Amino acid sequence: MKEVNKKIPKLDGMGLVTGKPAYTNDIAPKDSLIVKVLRSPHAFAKIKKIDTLEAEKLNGVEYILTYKNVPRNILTRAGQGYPEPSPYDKYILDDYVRYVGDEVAAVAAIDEKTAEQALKLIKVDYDILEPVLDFEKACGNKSIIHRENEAHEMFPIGFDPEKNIAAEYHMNVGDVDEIFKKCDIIIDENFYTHAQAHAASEPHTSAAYLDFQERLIVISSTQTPFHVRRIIGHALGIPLSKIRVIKPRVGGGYGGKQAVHGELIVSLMSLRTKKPCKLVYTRKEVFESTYSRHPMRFHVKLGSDKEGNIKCIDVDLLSDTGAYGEHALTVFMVAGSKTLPLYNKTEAVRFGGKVVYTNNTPAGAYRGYGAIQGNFALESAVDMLAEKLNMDPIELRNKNLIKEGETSPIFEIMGEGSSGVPMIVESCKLDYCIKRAERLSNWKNLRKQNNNSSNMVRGIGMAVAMQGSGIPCIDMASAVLKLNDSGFFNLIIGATDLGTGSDTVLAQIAAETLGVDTEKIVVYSSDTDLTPFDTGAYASSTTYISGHAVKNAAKNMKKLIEEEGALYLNVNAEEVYFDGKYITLKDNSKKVSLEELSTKLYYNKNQKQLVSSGSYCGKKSPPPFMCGIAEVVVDKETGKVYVENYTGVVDCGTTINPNLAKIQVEGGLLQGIGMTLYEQVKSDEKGRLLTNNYLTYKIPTRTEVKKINVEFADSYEPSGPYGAKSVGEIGIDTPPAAIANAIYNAVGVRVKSLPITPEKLYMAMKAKTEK
Amino acid sequence: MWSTGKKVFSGGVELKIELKINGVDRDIDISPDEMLLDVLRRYGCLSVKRGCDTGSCGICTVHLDGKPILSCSYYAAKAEGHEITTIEGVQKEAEEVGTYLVNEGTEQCGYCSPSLIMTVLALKKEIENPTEEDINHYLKGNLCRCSGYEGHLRAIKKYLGVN
Amino acid sequence: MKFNNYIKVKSLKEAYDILNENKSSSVIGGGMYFRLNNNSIDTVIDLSNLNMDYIKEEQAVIEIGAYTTLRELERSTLLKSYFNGLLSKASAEIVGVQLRNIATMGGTVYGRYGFSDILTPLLVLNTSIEFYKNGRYTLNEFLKMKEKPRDILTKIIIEKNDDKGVFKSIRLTNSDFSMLNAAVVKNKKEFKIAIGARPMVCCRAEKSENIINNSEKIDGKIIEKVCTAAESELTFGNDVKASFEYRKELCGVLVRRCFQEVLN
Repeated sequence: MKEVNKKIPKLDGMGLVTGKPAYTNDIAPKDSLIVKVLRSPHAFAKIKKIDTLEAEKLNGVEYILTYKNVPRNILTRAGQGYPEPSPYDKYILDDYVRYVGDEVAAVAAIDEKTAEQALKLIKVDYDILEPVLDFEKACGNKSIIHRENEAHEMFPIGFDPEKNIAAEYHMNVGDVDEIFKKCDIIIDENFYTHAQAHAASEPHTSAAYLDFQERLIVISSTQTPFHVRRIIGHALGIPLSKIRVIKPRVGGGYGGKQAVHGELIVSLMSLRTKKPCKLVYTRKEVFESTYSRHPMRFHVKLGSDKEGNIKCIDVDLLSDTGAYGEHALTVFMVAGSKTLPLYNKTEAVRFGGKVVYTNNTPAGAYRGYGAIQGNFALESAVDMLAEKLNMDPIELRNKNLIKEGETSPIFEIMGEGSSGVPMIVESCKLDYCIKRAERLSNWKNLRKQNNNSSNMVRGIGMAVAMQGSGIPCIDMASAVLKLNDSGFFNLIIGATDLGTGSDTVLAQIAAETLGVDTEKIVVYSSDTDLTPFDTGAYASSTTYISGHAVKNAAKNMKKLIEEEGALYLNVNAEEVYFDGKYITLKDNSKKVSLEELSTKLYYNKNQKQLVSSGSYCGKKSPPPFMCGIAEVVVDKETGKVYVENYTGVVDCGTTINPNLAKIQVEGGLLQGIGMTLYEQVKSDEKGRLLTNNYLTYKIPTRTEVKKINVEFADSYEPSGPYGAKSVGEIGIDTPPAAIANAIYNAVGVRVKSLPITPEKLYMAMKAKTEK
Repeated sequence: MWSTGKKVFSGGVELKIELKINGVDRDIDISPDEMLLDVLRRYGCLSVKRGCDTGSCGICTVHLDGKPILSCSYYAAKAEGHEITTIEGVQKEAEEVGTYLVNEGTEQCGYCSPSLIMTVLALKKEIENPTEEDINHYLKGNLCRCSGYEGHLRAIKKYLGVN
Repeated sequence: MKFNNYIKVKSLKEAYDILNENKSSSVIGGGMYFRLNNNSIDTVIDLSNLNMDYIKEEQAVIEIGAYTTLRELERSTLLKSYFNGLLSKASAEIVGVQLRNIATMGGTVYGRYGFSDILTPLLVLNTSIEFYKNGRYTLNEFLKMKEKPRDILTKIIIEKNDDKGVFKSIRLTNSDFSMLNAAVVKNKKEFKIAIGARPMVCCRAEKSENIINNSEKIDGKIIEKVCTAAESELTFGNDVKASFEYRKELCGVLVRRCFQEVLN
């Protein structure tokens, strides 16, 4: 492999770091009207009266949208394939508001000041309704959040709005109750996870204008330009052919930009005013009015025999989707489908529960997508089992974990929103990952309980994780390659680089397949008019799914080049080969360079444009695996946890670009550590988010964690492009459980709810001493 | 190409100030309560970005008389008579630092990178022979959500010649 | 904060006159937190042109101009050489370099912010503040005033002495405000203790100070007594950062840790 598994700088890197205009707000039309949104101060209310007269009179106000003058097409903002597994439960604007921050009205004005002033002049009379804020009391609550007649599911997902249920799911393998009876040891615990915020550096931004043919052009910091086009078309009732969505550079997404946010309002504003419009979310809006991670409650039961063979897993799950059901079912299912197969020696598994509506900030897609929540619960429970067995947690895992060449019935039973596909795990170096992490982290020495009386106590804990590589039989990607004179290529892809470096990774795959240097590939992504379809950047799909599509397109291009080369050399296509530079007769008697051929094709001989395409839809979703080991020091007097060292060893198959893969894991780990220790979400009794800015919601600085140490296993996934699996999400999954396990190792206190703030841990330690 | 100059105000009174931006003296119209960040973007310095509204993330970092400040939290009126440098004004130095960042792949989404580079350049001027601890301390106000910071440190240590 | 006029005044008199003639006016320091205020006023008074950015050593005191930034406080070799570097160290922990290059001493002190990591160490030193018209107050007096003088804070004056100070804080992340902070100084005569971010503005733990200052022997036992006393003599509150209960517990810990270091 020449171009693949190579540390190539990101193609767009230098432009970005030197500050060239590249993001939505940089390239939006300069004369855009500024759109601002009036948001609900109430968690649940009906708008009795809304009066925009005063605001309309304000000089500089161009248009005001309320529920009265927007198309009433019910939709889901989720940004998934079609039909979506998320309930249709949202209007562009509605006469009900269902959480603090929900949209009430929108203003387009000549500048920000005017728009803000206009918002203040809109008079709204609310009929305040009793909100549902505790997700454990949502199901069957007398307050029903979605009463609208049009709300519906696209296919059965257990949608039951009368009971505040957005989705429900149950599965089982074997007879769980019978197997538990035979188990020697049973762990039976509840775990809670919270609504982590994505906190991408670039706030959600979108702009829209009409071109000279009155087509709607939308520029958006989105992970899913094609879904955005489809949702805008549906919501506004206009043909998709009239819409073009451009995704420029995106300042981070992590799932937070998978759904549509400002795009619907800004598009409608532009259509109504016939002027360019721009909507830039404030950081407060990003926190309050986009969405965050689904908070969950897990009831986990694990059963094993005396030797530590895990026989049975039973998970009852309750998930809070907030006011709208985006990704309700799928995140819920992934909490099982991307954790349970790890322990594939079980005789029985049960997984199920409900996703409920509340009047909290909506939840949606976020890196890890249920797997991180499930991982915290399951990997904490497995450590508790190890303790009961008096067994080293690593030994217990080695005994029970899935191995290369094995399978799990879960793969076939659980997909995302429907059933999955059967799959043999053809690459799994989890055993190596654990062994290597054990060594790198000095596990054996540190694991010994140090009974010193110091207030600063060291501990070490571990967790293993798996993720997927795209959604099989649903995610489709495609690519187009175009040969230019002088022999370079345009790679035109719908795949959505949001800072991950996927443009570069995909260029490397194209270059590898063609046998050319990566610098011969010029990438353009993504634009619904100009690039072919791609489901978008989510579900850890880009390297695996889009990578395959690019590889297919490149294979086709190589064939075209050989055909044209043969024609040029007056021989049959079978007689030549293309090595990246020359098309050469197999007996080496004649050759023509690609440079010459491509120029001749443009101007002189057999004139034509060589264009190839390729598509791919996954047949399986090979899981990347990893082992994470956290070394912490706990300050017993304050409860503060210091992460001294975090070791991650990852099997993601071939690393197409080892540098970018490493940063994906390092960055994922720190986000996971942030969720575990610092990123606290607090609301008041009226459902108002208190942690709605960076003064109160604390993401890690560069001084929080002493050392993150990431390595990759030597692995090759036969079904992947050049042996690659995914790497975007796997890094985030292990920290919650590994750190909780390390804290337990240090101080003997088990925290079963996230985040583990100093106060929470201190109080837990105090309660234990007082017992 | 992005200089627009005049701006219409609905509310406050316009104010004229003199500001040196990237070595060029300019007469600038501002609103009295406008932040430096918005003025700089209006006058074409699109590298300067808003990441939060609370002075917490460092993404809006520019130099005021050579010192790094948060342009989101600095009133443009206050900056009158001072010299502002954005990354547009130090492209050569930015490329030098940038090369180390991109060679680690650590810029990722890039949204915070120009501000990180501006802070690194200030660090280099201000602290001789910095240690790893000095670097982390100096850059603490520059948040990044993509990279996990390890790659930043690898790159910046190489750039500054720190072992 | 929204306003209509921004005036860089030419003299303190001008500033004072505007401030008192126009009730809808306010003096700005760095503007860092001023800006987060959701109000709207008529006129903002900027003192940038009045050369109030200095740290000066006088015969018996150190004077810090109101427009001195926190970063200058942190970098000052003079301040590093006094009070065990107390002020420089406390300043260095605050958010990031960029913020410390903006935030001013005057803004910090006059704002009487509960979260301040600067007021707490200042309060254990012999600190006074000077207003243009109203003259001097001790910092302690100023912090206890019901209503702040509508006047221009010009400088902060700290007595030079053999005070050895230690500052401790606990934060969620290293760029966070303190959930609680504490400062202790020791000199030949006495100990002084201040607790801040309670979340109310910092105050002295006077009863606890009396316990240790009246004790003949300083040992672990007496320090424990002081810590317990501090926890009970001070009031704490709940906010988004921490609960009243947790703050109370932290108080003793931070005071003890300050003592351990200051006695070293």
